[in-house]
Parts: sequence; C-alpha cells; structure tokens
Amino acid sequence: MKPLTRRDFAVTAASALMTKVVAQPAPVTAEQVVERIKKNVGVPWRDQTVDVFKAGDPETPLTGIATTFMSTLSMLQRAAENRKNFIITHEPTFYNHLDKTDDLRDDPVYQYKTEFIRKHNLVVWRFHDHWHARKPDGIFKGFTKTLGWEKYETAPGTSVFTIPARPLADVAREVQERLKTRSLRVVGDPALVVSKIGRGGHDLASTIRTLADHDAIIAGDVREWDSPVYVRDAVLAGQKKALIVIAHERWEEFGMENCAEWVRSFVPEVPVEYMPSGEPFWNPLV
Amino acid sequence: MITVEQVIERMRGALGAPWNEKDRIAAGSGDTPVSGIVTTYAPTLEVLRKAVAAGRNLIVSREAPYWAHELYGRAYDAPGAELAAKTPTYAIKQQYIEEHKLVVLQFSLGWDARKTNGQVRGLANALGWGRYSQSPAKHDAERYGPGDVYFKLPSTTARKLGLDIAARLKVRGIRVIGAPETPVSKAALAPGLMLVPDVRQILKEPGVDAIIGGEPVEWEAGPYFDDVIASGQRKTLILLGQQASAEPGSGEVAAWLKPLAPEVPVEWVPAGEPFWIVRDKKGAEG
Repeated sequence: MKPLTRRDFAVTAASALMTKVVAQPAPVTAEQVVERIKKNVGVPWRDQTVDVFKAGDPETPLTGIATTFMSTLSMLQRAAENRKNFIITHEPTFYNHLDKTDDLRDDPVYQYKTEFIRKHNLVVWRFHDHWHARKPDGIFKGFTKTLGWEKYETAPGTSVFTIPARPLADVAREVQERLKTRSLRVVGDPALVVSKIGRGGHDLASTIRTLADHDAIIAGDVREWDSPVYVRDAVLAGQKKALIVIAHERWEEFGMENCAEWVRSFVPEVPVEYMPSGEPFWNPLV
Repeated sequence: MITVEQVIERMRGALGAPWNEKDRIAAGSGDTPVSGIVTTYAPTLEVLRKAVAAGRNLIVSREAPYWAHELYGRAYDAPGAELAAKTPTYAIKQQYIEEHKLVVLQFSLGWDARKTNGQVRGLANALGWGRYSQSPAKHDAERYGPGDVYFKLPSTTARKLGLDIAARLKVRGIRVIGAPETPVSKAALAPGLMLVPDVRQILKEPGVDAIIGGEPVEWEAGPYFDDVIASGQRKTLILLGQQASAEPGSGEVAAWLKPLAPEVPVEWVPAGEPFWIVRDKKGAEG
C-alpha cells in the first residue's frame, strides 16, 4: 500500500470529519419525541384529549427531558437548572383541567410562569389520558410499585389488592411511610381489620363503586363534601368500610417515574429524567 | 306548633338576600310540626341520632343528606347521586329519617349571600380572632361584610400558626402549603371550597401573607398557590378541610335561627371532623 501523502491524509481526515458531522443526528425536537410516544404508547390516539402542547415551541431542539406529575413553577425552575427543556407533565400547567388561560392573562403568577417558560426555551406537553389508558395503567403501575404491593395485586396491573388482614391503623401507617406522604387522612375505625384494598377516584361515584367490594379504598384528591361524609355514614350504618385519602400528587407522581424509563427506551439522543414536583402539603401535627 | 314550612317562611323574610331555590327540603316533609331545630355542617347519621335523642326533628345543614349535590357547579360534581341511592347506607339513612319523621333543610347558598358572611364570622370567633379583624364595622353584628376577611395577627410563622389553629379548632387533618418558617402577620379567612379566583382576589389585599381555607382542588387552587410561592412571594396556605372550615358557620346559623323560631329549642350539633391522621409516634392514631 502506497504511503499516504500529506494531501491524501488531509483529504481522508476531512472526509472522516465530514462523515462524522453528517452521521451525527440532528437534535431531536419535542414534536419528534411526541410522535415517538404516540407510536409506542400502544393505545389508539384520541381525537379529544388533554395530551397536547401547553407551552413553548414544539420544534425546539431538546437538551433533555423531564417527566413529572405536575409542571409547577418550582418544578420548571429545577428542570431549567438541570438543562431539561422538555417537560412531560401528567397534570395541567395552568390550574384547570383544560389549561384554559383566558381568565389568567392579567394574572401576575401566570405571567411570571409563561415568561419563565419563554426565557428558558421550555416546552411543556401533557401526558395524561393515554398514559392512564395503557394496560396496565402507566400511572398506577408506579403507585403499586412504590407501595411495594405488586405481590398483593388481585390480578397483575390492577392496583387492587388483597393484603394480609390487619387493622386499618397499621395499613394507613404503612401507606403513609411507603408513599412518604405528609398529608394522609383516614375515615373509618382504626381497629377495623382490612384486607381487600381498592383504588378510588376523585368523585363519589368511584368511592361507592369501589367500596362495594373492598374493605377500604385509597383515593387521592377527593371532594370532601361527598366521599368522606358518605364513608362516615356507611360506618355509622354499621358497614365495615374505610377510606384513606392521600394527596393527588402522592397518588400519581410515581407513575411518571415509570414514564421516564419508558421514554428513555425510544429517545436515546438526550437525557430523560424523572423530576418529582413534590407533595405540596405538610401537616404540622405529623 | 310551627311547621317546617313556617320556619322556612320566617327564614326567607329575615334573610336579607334572595332565597336560593337550591336551598330546599332535601328529606322529609314541609308540613311536619317542628319540635326543635339542629344546625350542623352535614346531617350524618350521628347528627340525626343526636337530634332524635334531644327530641329535635328539623335539621338545617350545609351539606346534603345523601351526599351528592350540585351546589358548586358541574365541574366539581361527578355523578354519584344515582349510585348513592342504591347503597345500603342510603336505605338505612332514609328509613331512619322516615321512622323519626325528621326533616333535613339544606341551607347554604342563601346564607352565604347575606350581607354579613356568617361562615367567616363563625370561623373568626372559633379561632378567637374577633379582636384582630380588619373589618371597618365596629360592631360584631355588622362585621364580615363582603371582602371583610382580613385579620392582623401577632407576628408568627406558618408552623406555629398551623399548630395553634389545629389546637383551637381541634382539627387533625390540617394541611399546609408553604415553608414552615414563613412569617405570618396578616391572614384571610376563606372557609369552604377554594377556587383560583378566590385566591387571586384575596392576594390583591396588600400585606396579606396567609390564607386559612377549607378545601382546594389539587389541580386548581392548590398548584396556583404553589406557583405564587415559587414566583417569589412568601405566603402560606393553611387548609382546614371542608368540614372544619365550615362547621363554625353552622353555629352562626343556630344563633340566627333562635329569635326566628322562639317556640322551639335551636341547637348547633357539630358533625365533627371525618378524618383522623397517623401521627409520628408508633401506635398514635389521633
């Protein structure tokens, strides 16, 4: 083989360099990540959904992705510090389910938040309906895992449990400790022995439906004028039932930890990290 | 003997605000002769039993006897009424009401529309805050008009205030948003359901650094307040729970009803907090 001349070497090096430049993929955008999510989620994408972009430019090249329960301002501040400019949030950004902002235009907090998003080139996209629609539900898979109760699920992926029978007070304490929550509240007799534990919802209908075939249910963010009063009446009427109320955030946040892992599997270009928005509440008595 | 309908007529006459047709007899019959009146936050089976034991058959309550109601608008009232009507608890409660010829008058909207806010006054008095009121009116009877919800407190912190309130109201399921050492010197009372516009309105008041509220929706006013703090404002939100925040107002209802129905005894019977919590020390359920 003929020895390389200086010129040959320069050409080869340059083409290698060029090859390298060409081979390096263009930075992935938020829009592309969402396309991959839609392709991978495994459930049909709905026409009517809250899973849409909430803020920022979808074509923004990404430096990193953060998944979270809720894109609160403090969460966004941490994301920006950690160079995660795409936020996948389970819950709304602007304080209502549909993220309507008409009434907020002149609000100083809204203005501060949108300005922060703009200044840091953040993109916020909501991932609620379809993550819940997966089988098993992506959110409650995380809840079950954090509770450490997979082994007690009546069927895998249901987040409905038959646990070893013991007093409600013990179960409540375990839930409080496992979920590291500071705002757990319980309705029912602390001495009641419970085994079948269901997962409720925010509303009275869920409470009634789930309690019908469970001793106790765990529910996040219930409306206090119906579910707790109903369960209390059920107990007063002689039924052996209980309700454990936890913060919405402690109920659903862990499902976004799973989500980060899942997104990472098809977005290798940028770091993907779960960033908890954190429980908003604390109880001075606990 | 006066009947329920006659009591309602007198209430209409004395209200000083238009009667809201959603304030209505929710159980029992209007032509029932009244033997005595009990006011309460929620007509739980326990409250009904206490009323019967004391020989009082008219229960005037904020909440509905069968839990589901639509007083706060559709967004917060997921369907539950139909399911509720099929539960054994419903049947037991209905039978108890019929057997003892009880009448439940659900009364909150008209009460809240009065010139003096009885809910705020009740809570202020229960807290011992009358002397701290910033209300322009000098006499207690004229205080707590619309917007008169501010109290200048001796300087304290979020944690100390939370503990003080928990002790005064004997509330266990208290939840706080904000840093424990945040200074507090001026607080607003906002009993009941707290929505984003309520928080915005209160925070327009100069110098207010804490809100004592009832119940937020955890994807609405809760995160809004979280963002208020993250945007650099040092504020505290103390949530008493719907019942604990609204119950003292039922004492005010009793005081208002007394001169309207001098023929019968009128008594406030608190429904009591539905929740208990798991405290720090092992085995302490309080």
